[in-house]
Amino acid sequence: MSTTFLPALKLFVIALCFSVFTVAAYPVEPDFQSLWSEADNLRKEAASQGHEWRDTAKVLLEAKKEYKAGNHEKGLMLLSKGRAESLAASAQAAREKKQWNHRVVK
Amino acid sequence: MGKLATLIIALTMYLYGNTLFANPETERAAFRAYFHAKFPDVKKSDFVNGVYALDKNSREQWIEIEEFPPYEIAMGEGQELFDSTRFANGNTYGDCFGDGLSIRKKYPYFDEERAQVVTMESAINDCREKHGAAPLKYRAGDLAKISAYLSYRSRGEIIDVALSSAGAINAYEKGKKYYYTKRGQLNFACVDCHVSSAGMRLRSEMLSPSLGHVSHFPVYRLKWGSIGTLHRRFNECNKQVRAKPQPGQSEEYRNLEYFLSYMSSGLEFNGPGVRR
Repeated sequence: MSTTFLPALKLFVIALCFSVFTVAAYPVEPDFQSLWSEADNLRKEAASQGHEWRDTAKVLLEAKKEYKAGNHEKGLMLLSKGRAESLAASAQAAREKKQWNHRVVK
Repeated sequence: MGKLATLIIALTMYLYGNTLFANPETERAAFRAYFHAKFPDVKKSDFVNGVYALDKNSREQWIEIEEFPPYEIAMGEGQELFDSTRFANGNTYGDCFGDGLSIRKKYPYFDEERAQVVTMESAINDCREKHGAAPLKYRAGDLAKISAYLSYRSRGEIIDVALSSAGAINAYEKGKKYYYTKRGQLNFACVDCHVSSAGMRLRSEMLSPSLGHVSHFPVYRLKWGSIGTLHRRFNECNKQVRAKPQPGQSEEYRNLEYFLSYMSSGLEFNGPGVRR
């Protein structure tokens, strides 16, 4: 059992190391669509809490448009902006759950 | 020991009393007291005039504008629509609203059956749908014109919102939460502009006080160049703080209108108005 298993394990570890080096040496293009979907889901999460910001959806659509047109750098930059806005909007929603009541005129 | 316990209880009551025993009535009293203290020279009944109650120059200009009010044409068109519209089933607006007198003061109210706030504008569309007509757009156009006409016919009547059920209080609470919650990229709540900063300038314009806000809608805004409903203004406020606005007559806006109307109860309706 061990005579077969150990060499196989060694081979697997070597193959794994090789694949890691390969990935590091030849970075691939980011998967724009999955990054975009992740950012859009974050936007939807903020929206479900009633805190979506005015321009986030537009920014994300613009990001997609630019990326498709070959302006990858601009597309990624806009994507990052839309993602950051979505996260900030959700953070605002979480903060306001505790804070809004402190502003009630008493 | 007994004295110490009494002292602790008294201190707790003093510190947290407002929170523990807050109710709509005490909140309304506090809301009004805030504005009356902030603007001691403004007559209490004058808060229905918004910034024109606070700023002498703006008031003079407004009085001049009111000589030939720009909402008059829309109001006339509203009357025409109200009087002459005949739905496919032969009914008219009159079958829902009678002769159009004393309508404004009935709204907003909490409809127990539907478990939601009904505003005058939503009632106009309810009427249309009941008689088989398509609903009108909520923020401007024909609906705002009809609303202007009905508001005009109710001028001088008193805003009177009663929170007479658990459902009504729940709607009030939701409206209150919306009012006091910061939103948008600029991180503003309604209270930031219309309570804390009321009377201050935002660029060239003065920020109006919330007390009396609902009395004069719909308004003809010079900026819009047309007449628009209260929910059109809510929508614009949201956009100005870079929050995604709600559609007209969304639950959020209806509850907000309900909350604001309760806060202004006792003041007069004086719509339609004109604003910059």
